[in-house]
This record gives sequence, structure tokens and C-alpha cells, in this order.
Amino acid sequence: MALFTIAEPGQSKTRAPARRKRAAGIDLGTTNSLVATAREGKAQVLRDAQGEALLPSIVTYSATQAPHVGVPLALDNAQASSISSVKRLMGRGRADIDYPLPYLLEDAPGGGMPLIHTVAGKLSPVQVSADILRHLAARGGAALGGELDGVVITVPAYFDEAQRQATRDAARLAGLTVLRLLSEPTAAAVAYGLDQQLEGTVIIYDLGGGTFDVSLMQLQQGVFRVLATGGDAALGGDDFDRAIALWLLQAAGIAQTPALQEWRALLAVARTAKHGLTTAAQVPVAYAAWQGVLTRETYYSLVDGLIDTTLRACKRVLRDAQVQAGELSNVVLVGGATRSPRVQEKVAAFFGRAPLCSIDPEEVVAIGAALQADVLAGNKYGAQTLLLDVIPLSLGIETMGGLMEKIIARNSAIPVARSQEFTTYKDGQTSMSLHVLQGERELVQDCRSLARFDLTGIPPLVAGAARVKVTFQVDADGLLEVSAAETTSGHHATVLVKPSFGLQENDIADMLKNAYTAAEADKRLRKLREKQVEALRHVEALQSALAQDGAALLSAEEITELTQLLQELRALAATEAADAIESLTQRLNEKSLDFAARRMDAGIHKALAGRRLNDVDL
Amino acid sequence: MLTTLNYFDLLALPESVELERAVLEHAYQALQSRWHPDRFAGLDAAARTCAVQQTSLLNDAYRSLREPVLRAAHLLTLRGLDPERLEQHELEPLFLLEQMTSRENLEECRAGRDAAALARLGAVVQARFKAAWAGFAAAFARNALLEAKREFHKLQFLNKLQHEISAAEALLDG
Repeated sequence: MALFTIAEPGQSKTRAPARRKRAAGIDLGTTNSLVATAREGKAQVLRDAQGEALLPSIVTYSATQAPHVGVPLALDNAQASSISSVKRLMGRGRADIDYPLPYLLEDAPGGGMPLIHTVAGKLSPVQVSADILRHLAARGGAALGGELDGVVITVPAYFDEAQRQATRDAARLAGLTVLRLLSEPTAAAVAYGLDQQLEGTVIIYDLGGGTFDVSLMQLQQGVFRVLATGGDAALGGDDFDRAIALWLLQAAGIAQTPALQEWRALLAVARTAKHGLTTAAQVPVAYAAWQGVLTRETYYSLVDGLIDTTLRACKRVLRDAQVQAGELSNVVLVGGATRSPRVQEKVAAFFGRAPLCSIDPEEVVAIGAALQADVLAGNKYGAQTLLLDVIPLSLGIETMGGLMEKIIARNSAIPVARSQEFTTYKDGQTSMSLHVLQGERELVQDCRSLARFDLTGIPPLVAGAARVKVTFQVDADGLLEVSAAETTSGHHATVLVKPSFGLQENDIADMLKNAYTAAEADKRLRKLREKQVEALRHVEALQSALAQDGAALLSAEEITELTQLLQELRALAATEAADAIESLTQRLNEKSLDFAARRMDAGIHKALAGRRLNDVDL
Repeated sequence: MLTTLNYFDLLALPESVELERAVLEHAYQALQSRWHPDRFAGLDAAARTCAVQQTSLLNDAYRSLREPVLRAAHLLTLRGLDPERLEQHELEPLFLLEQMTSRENLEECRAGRDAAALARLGAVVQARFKAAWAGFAAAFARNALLEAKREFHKLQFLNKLQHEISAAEALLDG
């Protein structure tokens, strides 16, 4: 217990009897956003003058007026630009966006997120998000009677570091203090735990318009602990509409893809039909000149595959946490798309129990965020609640041969600190480049690049002698800090990770999905890379040994033979012939054994020369 | 020599081979409730940094005690052994042979996408793990540390195989 009897942090400080802090929870959604506040453990979703809680996440910019957030103003396109679904651009690069958007994008100078063309100028997705946040914060401030002291903003559990950072930047731009970025399913669990005293092991199934998240949580006496999380960053209720729309096109005998405006109309028909099927066994549908009927059976055949994909993610999460479906005490539904009876039916069948959705699935995330905001702002109520979260995707570092070495595995509880030692690769190496990565795959090119930094000032030693300790620390906010130190000299280099952008929209989900299917291919490649690195290490070592002592210790023929082998191996190491590389490395090793022995003898002679034996420390 | 932090002490638990999940969870959550940085919301940065370090350590301790193989490794470390170091003579040829057969078996299941055979293999490995665990527990209780270490290395091998089996199962599930 020694470690835990050190003076409690802040113990000596007296807490000033401060005024109650004004805190709000914000659900910043792809299609709709909400804001809620909490008092005495009771949360309330804030509504506009018309009584609407949902604020469409659309910002309309015009040349003359201030940005308008919500249902777009009826202005024509020359005067105004309406920007929707900006959440999909957060933390993404231009190359990541390969789907049609109703607005123009261009590369930002210096990389990063693309800029959006509007009549009010070119705007970054962060700026557009900031406008939405500003609007919601104003609604919160008005309800609480003053400027907000802090907010909790929710993000999909599956958001990577770059997307989280972009969200933080948007809040900063809107002048908000972020108390925490909270995962959406976790927020929902907080709402159920505090509002409905839900306890036990609970799975949160969160199907929104554009993303799917699943979190397995343990709720116990005010402690909300995430056991594992998973999901699909590019699967949501919108895909159901798209599936129906594509069926409509086929049924109507239309071969070519409709234009954007036409496509929107088609999606509207699809949505109406989908809603109709909630109560009716079949609904009449009409598109263009075609008229027909959509039955439940047809609808099920269109969407069941999508729902099955979400259930597979649920299975993986259970496996990750080593929990059986039978051990669950509840299954909670979150997100507008879980209103679908088919989703409810299939989820119930999969888990063998009726899911819970007693809190409005569209409001529950904002409610949980508000409750947590109240706690984190330091307001007394709810002092007993505590949230223990995990990191959704593994963090690691690039090692020789373009491999990703995981340092913190996904679903590790935060805060977490973990270190790993690396050695230098070349003789006399004085600096080391560190490349911080996130993802589940083995090769660097398949993971997300978060940051690069250099550790310099390593004392020049032979390859492998200098040791560099790399430490990853993730705090309770989920912020990653990476530091590196050469352990013999204690030389430090630290970086606070500022993620860069380079992944595609579905890469997160793909990264995980592919980590399974590609595990075999990765393993083969990994083996090859290891052989290549090994071969090059021998080449390097022998080359420097030859340069130093070759002439003194070897005959001309021996040097020629070794040099020839060395060149052969260097060339072979650039190919993919793993086995050939291995056997040639082995041969080079054998051939150079004698040389190594002679060097060692020479070394001893040198050490002994001119000294008495007992002076020598061998 | 660097002294090893005793994770059992850290969590105020008796040092033991068997550890009930519920007991561990209870101790862990109680300490997290007290030390989590969110408990110091609104206080200065130094207090929060301290809390972050404490809870990071606590998370490490929890993880190391929860997984049986990690727990066994920690117990050996506390007795002054280096569980990372595997000596050639510590593995019986028979055990290695058995491992090779299991691995070939796993390859066949994977290649043939045979879920039933995979489940059978999983059960066999599970039984072997249990046996090795019992061997470790008995040797450790007698303070026969070298024997305990030999059993521990078996556990390591079997655990790795279990992970690969479950990855193969995930692959078959799609």
C-alpha cells in the first residue's frame, strides 16, 4: 500500500466555495446535434423557441449575413451555401473523401483537412463545426443564465486521435472549454445509470445516421467502466435508405446513377417507405413513372446484411472482453436508426433478450454528456460517479522494415502509460526518427500516422548498444503524449501528439476488419521484412568491420569473397525472396565467422599491448 | 538490482496464485474511485498529474493480476526469477512436439474453414492449460520455483495458441 499513502493530491488545498459551474453536454452529430444541461443529477435536453430539441447540423453561409445554423434558409444557391454532414470531414484529408458532396472542396495549404468553398469564402470543417458548437453553447448559456464554464462533447467511440483533435480544435475555435470528449455509447450508459439506476454488465448498441458504435460496460455503484469498444465508422441508418433507393432504381428499370438532386428525392421516397413498413406489412412506392410495392420481406433482404455486420462487431467486443452474451444484464439501444423494428428484432434475437430503449434514443447521448459535464465541472452532485474509459484503437510506433509495433493495445483502460525499448540500427547513429501510429494492422502503410519526431543527441555507439526508451502516456482525457529518452545518457525528446490526416472514411473500420482477414498476409510480409532487416544488419556490420580491419586481417581473396557475398545479399534483401535471403544471410554469417574470431584476437592483443596483465580488465 | 513493485500490495490483496475476479474488481474499482484524475477535477495540474500516474500504475497492476499468465509471471518476478528468460532445457521435448501437432492442427482448421474442429482443438488446449495451471500452482505452493517456471513457460505457449485459435474463430465468423 506504500504507493497509495503519499499525500493525496490537492489535499492541502482548500476548495473555494465557488458559485455553481455552468456546464452543458453537447451531442455533435452528423445529421442532428443536441445540447443538454444537468442539475442535481437530473438532465434536461434544451429546446429552441419552437420546442425542437434536434438542431440539424447544417450551417448556411451567405456573403452578407452571419452564419445560420439549423434548417437551411430559403435562399438561392448564388447567395448562400448550406454545409451539411461536416462531421464526416473532421480529421480527414482531401484524399480520404471519395464520395459525392453537395459542395466543393480544395486542398488546404500545408495539408490537413480540405477547405470547403462557400459564398462566404473557403472554410475548414473545424470552422463549420465551431459554428454549430457556438449555436448550441448559446442555447445552453441562455438556459443557465450566463456564459458556459465548460462542456462535454460526445464523439463516436471509434473516432481516432485525428478526429478527436479536430473536434477539440472546433471547440477551442468556438471559445469553449472542453471538460472531456466522451464516447457516445459511454454517454448513453451514464444516462441510463444515473437516470434509471441501471446496474451490471451492459452492452450499448449505438446505430446513428452515419456510424455504428458498440460498447460493453460495467455499471456498478456509480462507477461506469468501459470493458471493450468496437464498431464501424462508416455504417449507419443512412445505408438502409441507400439500399432501398438502389432497389427502387433497379425496380424502376433505371440504369444510370441519378444526379445529386434526383438522388435526394429518391432517398426521401426510400425513407418514407421505410417508415411505412414500421406499421404495415407492405407499402406502395412510386418513383418516376414506375409504381409498385415494397414488402417487409424485400426490405429485410435489403438491410439484414447491414444489421448482421453490426452484430459481428458486437460479437468481437464480447470476445475482446471475454464476456458471454448470457452474462449481460441489459442491452441498450441508442441512435435514431435503432427505432427500426427490424433492428430491434435482430438485436433481441442475437442477445436472447429484449433490448432497453426507455430513454429517447436520440436524446440519451446528450443527457449522459450533460450529467458527466456537471460532475467534471466540479459541481458537488454526482461526486460518487466515475467514468473509466478505454482507447478504441491500438497505439504504436514504426520499427525497421515499415512494421507497426503496438505499445498500447486497443481496449486498454486509461489513463495508461507504457514503455518499450528500441536499439540503434547503425554504428555511430546519433539520432532516431520516431513515427507514432494508430491502428490494428502490422504494416505502417495500413495504420494511421499520428505524428513524427526526432530524438537527437544519442551518444555514438556501435549498433544495438544505445537504448532508446519510448513511453506512451494517455491521460484520462484520452490525450496521447509520447516521449523518448536514450537511457544511457538520459537524453530526452518529448512530443504531445498533434495528429496528422491521411486515412479514408472507412479506414478505421477497415483497419480492424482487415486486421483479421489480412492477418495471414501480414504475417508473411512481417516475416519477409524481418529477414530483410536482419540481412541488412549483417551487411552493415560486416561492411564496417571490413573497412576497419579488413586490410590488416584478411587476404585479398578473402576480402573479395566477403565483399562479393555482401553485395549479393544487399541486392537480394531488396527482393521478396524471404527464404533465399535467410539462407544467404546464414552463409554470410558462416563465411565471416573466421574474420570475427581474428578480430577478437586482435582486439585482445591490442588491449594487452604494453600493459601488465593485472592492469587489464577484460 | 531494481526492486519490483508488488502489484498485490498495491491493490491491498494477499499474494496468491488464485485470485477471484470479483475480489480483484472490487479492489480495483475502490482504488480507481479514490485516485482517478476526475476526482481532482478543478484542482491544479500537479495534483492531476499525480493522479494520472497513480491510476496508470493501477491500470497496469489490474491488467497484470487479471490475466492468469501475467499474474504467474508477476509472482515469479517477485520471487526473483526472470520470466522473460526461457532456457533451452526448460521445455520438455514431448511438450514441444505436442505444441507442433496442435499448430499443424490449427493450420488445417484454418485452411479447411472447419469451425467444429477448431472448437474441439480449443477445448483440448483449454484442458492442457488447466493442467499446466494446476502444475504451476502446486509447484509454486511448494516453493519449487524452477519447476513452477517450467510450468509457466508451458502456460505462455498454450496462452499464445489460445489467442491464435480465437483469432481463427473470429476469422471464420467473418
